[in-house]
Amino acid sequence: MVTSIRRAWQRLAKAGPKHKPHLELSEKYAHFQRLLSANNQVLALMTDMEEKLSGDYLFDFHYIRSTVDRMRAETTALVEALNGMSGNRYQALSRASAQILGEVEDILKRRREIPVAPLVIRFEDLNAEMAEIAGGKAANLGEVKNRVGLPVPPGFAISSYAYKCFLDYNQLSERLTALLNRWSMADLDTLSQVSQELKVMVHAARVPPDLEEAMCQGYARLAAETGGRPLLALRSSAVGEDLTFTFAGQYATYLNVTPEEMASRYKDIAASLFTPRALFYYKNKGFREEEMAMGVAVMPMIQAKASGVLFTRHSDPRRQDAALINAVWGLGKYAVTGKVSPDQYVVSYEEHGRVLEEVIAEKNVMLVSLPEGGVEERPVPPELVKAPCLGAPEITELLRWAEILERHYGRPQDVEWALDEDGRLWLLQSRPLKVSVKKAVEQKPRVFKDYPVLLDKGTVACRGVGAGPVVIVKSEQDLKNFPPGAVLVARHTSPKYVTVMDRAAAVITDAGSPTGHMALLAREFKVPAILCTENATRVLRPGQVVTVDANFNNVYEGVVQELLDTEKETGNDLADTPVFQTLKAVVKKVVPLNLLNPQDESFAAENCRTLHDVVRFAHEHSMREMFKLSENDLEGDLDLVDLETDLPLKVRLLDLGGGLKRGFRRKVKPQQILSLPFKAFYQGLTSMRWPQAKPAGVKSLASVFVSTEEDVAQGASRWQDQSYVVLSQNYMNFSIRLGYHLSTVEAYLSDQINDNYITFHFKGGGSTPERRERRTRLIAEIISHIDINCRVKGDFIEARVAKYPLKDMARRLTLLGKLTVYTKQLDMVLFSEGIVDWYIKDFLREHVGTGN
Amino acid sequence: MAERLLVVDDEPNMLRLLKTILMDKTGYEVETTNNPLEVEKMLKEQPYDLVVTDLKMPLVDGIDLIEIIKKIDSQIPIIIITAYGTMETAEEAIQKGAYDFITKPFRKESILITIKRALEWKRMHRELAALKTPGA
Repeated sequence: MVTSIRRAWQRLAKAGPKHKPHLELSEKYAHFQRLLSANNQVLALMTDMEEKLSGDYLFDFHYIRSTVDRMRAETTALVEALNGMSGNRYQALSRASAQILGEVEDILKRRREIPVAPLVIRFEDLNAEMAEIAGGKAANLGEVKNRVGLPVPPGFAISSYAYKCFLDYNQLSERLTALLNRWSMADLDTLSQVSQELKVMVHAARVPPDLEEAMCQGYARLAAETGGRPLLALRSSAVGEDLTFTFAGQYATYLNVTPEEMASRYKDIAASLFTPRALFYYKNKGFREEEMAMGVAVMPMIQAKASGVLFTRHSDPRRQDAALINAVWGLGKYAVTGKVSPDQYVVSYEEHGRVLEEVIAEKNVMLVSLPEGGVEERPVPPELVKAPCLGAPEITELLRWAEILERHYGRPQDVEWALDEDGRLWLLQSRPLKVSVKKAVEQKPRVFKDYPVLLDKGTVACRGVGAGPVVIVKSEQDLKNFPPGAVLVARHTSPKYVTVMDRAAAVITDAGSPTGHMALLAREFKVPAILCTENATRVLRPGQVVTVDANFNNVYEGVVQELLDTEKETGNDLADTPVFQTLKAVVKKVVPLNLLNPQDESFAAENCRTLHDVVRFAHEHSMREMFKLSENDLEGDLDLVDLETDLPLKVRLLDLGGGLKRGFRRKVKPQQILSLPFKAFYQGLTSMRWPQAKPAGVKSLASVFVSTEEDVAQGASRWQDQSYVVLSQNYMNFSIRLGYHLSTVEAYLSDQINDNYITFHFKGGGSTPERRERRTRLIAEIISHIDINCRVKGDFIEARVAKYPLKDMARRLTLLGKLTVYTKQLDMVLFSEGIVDWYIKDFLREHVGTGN
Repeated sequence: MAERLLVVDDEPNMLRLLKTILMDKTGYEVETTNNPLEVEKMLKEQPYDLVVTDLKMPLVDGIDLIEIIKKIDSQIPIIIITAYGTMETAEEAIQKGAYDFITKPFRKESILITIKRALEWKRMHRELAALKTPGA
């Protein structure tokens, strides 16, 4: 590497005055800084999005839109910066990034489409997954009929596609838009007027002949199944109630409809969607037919003796073990609308159908079907007014339904039922039960006093509670053997921990950043994580069982069951909303990390699947580009200055900005250098204390840097090489030549933890192969002790540490400075493995504060 | 008796989220509308204890709505929901008589606490007024 610097140096003399490589270097560094900034921005935006997915937040589409826009801008800037640093060598990354951003955009633009489907579908052919086609109500009736096996009347759904055909056939979308544009609708009266006008328009529209034909065929099948000519119930079955519920108001339902009226009532249901509230929405957002797609469920009218509602769970928390049944005489509409006070039965599950509470109301009127069609309110016969609508067999049967439905759906249901004149119970509707929970949210105590608190500081990266035995992870082998349910404890964060995220109960680290790669992964896998505890690896013992409360930043000894229990109760009630689902889909394209190991061949731009991959790849390669500074960029007319120092080192400096005190000079003194990493490293170089056993023949500091006789014997010449430093206020790239040792120390130090890193490369040195290997071992063991990840290939050492706070990084740089001198001193004395161990211990004891 | 809240937002998704949260976490009764033009009619038809409204809506924005609401019921606390970066308008809303504002996106707990505080404030006002009324 230094050879290439020298070559570059030699070319300097030939470079013409127009050549401005210094400028290019400054530009490269400026790109690097822009990249670091964009990297942080993107990681912070990812963190923000994941936080929103925790279920603790309320956000809207505008939030997703604006976050994605900012993310696109920063990612694009980041990729451009990397290309700027490298002469556009990362075109593949530009392509990968554009591809992923396009996919994210598709998610945001994705609209619900009305799927092409048969116009009419029998209940027998429906299930819960077909809500898009038949609407929620009809799809669920199919589910209950076919998969749950409870008695649902025969019937059919008119599909959402039929509704689209109806709109298209009459060009209603265009006419609606035209009408909305004609009116300013600045007040309620106009809105109501337009709503009326529109209903007339829809009612005047024609049901397409093929749809009418399909409805008739559907009816003919029903008639054949039931015998005779049944009258019908037409119930609207909304698609995507999540989108429409807030403004559509009450959907129309028509009872006791004759087959001849079916098409006409269908249009009435379609018209009922255009409430003033819906019109206001369409006026301001634009009309989209897919947003109000609608199905209709058609069933034969059940001649109901009694009807009502079954809540499979009582809403009162004190009655959690019970189901609640309401019942009225006649048709069920009066039980729902509150026209009549219904009978009420509270029925216990645990006591197998025992009625815990029974209120028999005075039911003076009822709604009945007329034989010729239509419904009518009638007085209840006097003997029935105060009589209970249900007997024990019906109550037992309804409770049996409740049990089956809860088991099937996994949550409480709100069921409409009818009891026909033959005493048969029919299920007319089942949907998730929505209840207002009237319980105060209990505040959890911040600290559980009964359990010893082992750690109480750090930064929460992913909220939650987890418990398990501590596993201290130091190597990849520890990850391979990581047992399920254990708590991962490590010195620093690493994206490689993703391999155990699916089985870790929690993660605790001494250092790291909550917006770093691993923190993002912890949130993706919902693993509670506390970072920056400073001393978790020292305080926690392997195998010790702990409870990690990553809500309040405490780690307890033992299992705090109360904490684990309360955590289970907090579910996410927003998870199934469209806005949440959209963010989740976006985050899936953004956050997962596929490029884990920079040493793998698969760590390539082509393999970037998410924006996280893109930024990780770009950040890694930006550091490599900066590391290569000396090789490729030290050409041309550079403003280099010499360092005036007592050390036997020839050092030339190039300032990229803010690294030196102001004022041009040919020489600088160490105290005139402002570069944070350089100052830390230089402090190590100069503060070296000598080991007690000096190498034989060493007389002065200078003499240790002079090549050994042995080196000379191998054909090397003395003192011909020059060390170079490229630096800025936060950056240093130091190529050090000491005799035949070549090391490069590169570092970025700032207040931004995510940006901080040190890269250390060491190569060669004179002496015999055994001694070189001993020296390599010495360096590798020492730097592993100061938590720098190290890879050794022969006598080549490659080490990296990142994401520690500034002062920790500076401390390591100082130690690397000391180590640089220390290893040079030992060239001649590493005559056995035992002596290597002795010198390792000596250095650690003297400079790191440990002797082990 | 459960307190009645009216939530106004032109974005149906936000309305749905707010309703879900308020219903799940509290015992409040919650009505919603995406149409600010309806608010006047709704308040006249039934009493409400508190209004939560978005600031930026078509035709009638939150600021106008504050005046409309205050004319019908001067005591009703109004909580304004603002988008990030519209601080000045939020301050204007407070000057016009809104009780408080909350910036989107927000934590669920934040809106619950803000609502709870606003309702307590209203209750205290009512009690104070009763104390000041002679013979009360």
